[in-house]
Amino acid sequence: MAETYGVGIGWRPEIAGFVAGLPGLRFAEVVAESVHAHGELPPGLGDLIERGVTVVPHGVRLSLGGAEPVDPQRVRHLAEVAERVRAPLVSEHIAFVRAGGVEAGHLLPLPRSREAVDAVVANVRRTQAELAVPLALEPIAALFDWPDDELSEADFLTEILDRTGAGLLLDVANVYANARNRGTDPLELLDELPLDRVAYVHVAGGAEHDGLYHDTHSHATPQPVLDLVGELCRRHRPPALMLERDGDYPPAAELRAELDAIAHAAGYPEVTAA
Amino acid sequence: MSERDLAARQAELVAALTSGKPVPQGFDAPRVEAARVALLRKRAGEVSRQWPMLAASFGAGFKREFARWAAARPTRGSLRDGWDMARELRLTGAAAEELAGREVSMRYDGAAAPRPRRSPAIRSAGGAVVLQIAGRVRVIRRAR
Amino acid sequence: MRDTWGISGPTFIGLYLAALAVMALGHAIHRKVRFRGTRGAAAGDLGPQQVAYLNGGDQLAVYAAMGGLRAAGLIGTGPQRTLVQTGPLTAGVTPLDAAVHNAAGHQVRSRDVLGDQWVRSALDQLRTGLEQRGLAVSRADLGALRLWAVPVAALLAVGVLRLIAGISTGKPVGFLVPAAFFTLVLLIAIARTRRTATAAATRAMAELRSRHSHLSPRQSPAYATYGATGAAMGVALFGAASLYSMDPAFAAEAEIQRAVAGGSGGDTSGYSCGSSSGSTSSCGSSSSCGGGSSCGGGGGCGG
Repeated sequence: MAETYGVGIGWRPEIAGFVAGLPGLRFAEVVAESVHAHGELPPGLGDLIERGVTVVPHGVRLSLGGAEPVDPQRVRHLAEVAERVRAPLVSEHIAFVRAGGVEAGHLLPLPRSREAVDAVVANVRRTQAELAVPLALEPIAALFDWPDDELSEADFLTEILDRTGAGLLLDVANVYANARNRGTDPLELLDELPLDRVAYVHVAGGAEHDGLYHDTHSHATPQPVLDLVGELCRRHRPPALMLERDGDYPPAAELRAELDAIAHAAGYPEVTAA
Repeated sequence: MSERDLAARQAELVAALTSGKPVPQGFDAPRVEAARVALLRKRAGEVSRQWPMLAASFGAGFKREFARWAAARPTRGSLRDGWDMARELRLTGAAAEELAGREVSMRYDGAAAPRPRRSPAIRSAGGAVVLQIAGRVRVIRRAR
Repeated sequence: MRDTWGISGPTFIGLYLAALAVMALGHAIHRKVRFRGTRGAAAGDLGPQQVAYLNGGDQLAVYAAMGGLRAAGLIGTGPQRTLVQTGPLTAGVTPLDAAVHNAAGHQVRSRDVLGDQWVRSALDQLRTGLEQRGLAVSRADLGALRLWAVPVAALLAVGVLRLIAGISTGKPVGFLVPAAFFTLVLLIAIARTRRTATAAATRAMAELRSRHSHLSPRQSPAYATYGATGAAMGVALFGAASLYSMDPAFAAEAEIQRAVAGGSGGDTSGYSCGSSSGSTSSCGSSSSCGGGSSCGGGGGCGG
């Protein structure tokens, strides 16, 4: 994305009215699986697109990291939704969500092995072949790692990006969660990642549960994540950063304050004012 | 490792997370357990959005009850998870009406994905009787 | 063989149909005039309770107030399906809010709220305001409209008597049966007029419904985000089903009648897969149906 969009938000039907009321909004993301490829758009999403807001489909069930080839029907759906919402790009995860015919219902981490890199690269290429727009890949937050990691996280990601030419959808909250749960320094990862490849950024809240930090998307964004946004933007400011909220939606004033806090941390204008 | 290896190991991990199978060797078992529990909480949240009356009928205990029910049942989507659970329960009140309402609106045999019904249907659950004609759903008798 | 009552069959049916047509037309014109309301009546600033009254009468207006009060955390349910106060009233509430909150203070059973004296007078005030603005038809006018039931019923009685007489003397009654049936239909239509919203108000509500489509229970709206006013407006525009969507336990405890609905008429609404409009076709080949979010509430997302 050559253009600069500033602060955006994950569009969800539950908060469609709130999103519609953000005067400065220019960027939003929609869960690709929740949009019909041919039928009507979810109420409110069409108005947003008409208003000129860039809407990016975000796939959550492609299972790009699965050892099996991606389901062509799912890939086609993602491509059709991208066309439907006139998106300049789409995004998915570096993760797998099913194996052996069983749905995990969750984004699961891959071993950071050459074999896994090969599997992801093959699936990303299959997907890219069907897409008319670029694909950005999001590294996930994981509560556990595989026992046989050969590569560092940065090397693992960089190799996938290099071999596929895909963009990076960097989730700052995931970077924070992983570093906190692994006891590593999130800034180190930021320093090692190819930040010029960042297509856009996710920001989200989470909570600690039994000593582990969970990336819940249903709590407010904690200050350390906002600080990390600042650190990232000091190194290389991405064209768009967006808040992901998926449940326990707070009063509008709190959501607005959270969007403004992201804008301040990134040095972008507030979208809550015209 | 061959590609079959990765597939098999991914399947093993999914089975541990969704079907109560043992955690594969080498993994940090408490961490995988934490992920398993988080996954069940997440599924419970999705089901309670899709089946609000079912969830409300358990009061504050729904997430716990659902987690118990779902511990060895991999998800088939929140609509079907809630449906399968509801059919196993003796529902009353609004939850019974919710179930009967779904039963008249969609055809679901418990094995394949639910499909919208084209023909009229009448179903009862827990004393509630619900009728659907041409897509319009009417509660004929309220559940107690 | 003599004609029944000395009037030939064709003459009678002609007269009968003429009378029926005059009554139907008269009622329609009368109705049209009464419901025209004030042309260009200001409807832009309608509050949730006013919209609720226009959409579903007294009961829905009370439900809208309950929705707003519940969203603000000011009422709850107590034992034996009574309402209770759970917080003090804040400034800027409507008279109906205050009345319902007050009723909750007396532990009134929720289904008896409509009978509370203070609530009644707040509803009268609400209705009078709408009548004066040309948005609601007055009770007197509605009563006058319903008077059309008298001649129509008389006509029906004549028709039925003729039918009986005709059958007993073996006359053909083939035309009279459908004519009497249509008379009955007209009678029911007249007697069942419950609507009070004028044409201007109906137009305004259609506009509000599209402007507030995000409050439809099908969207599982985040009521906390939309606040008390949003919650009340959701109930007003989309019926009592919104209360169930907002707070199922409260709605069930308070015995909210889901059938009290306007717009979507939704009862156990929202059979679509996932919280958004996504249905099977958007779910790819798998049997599972993706919800509207990339992640569930409270569980840890990773995405």
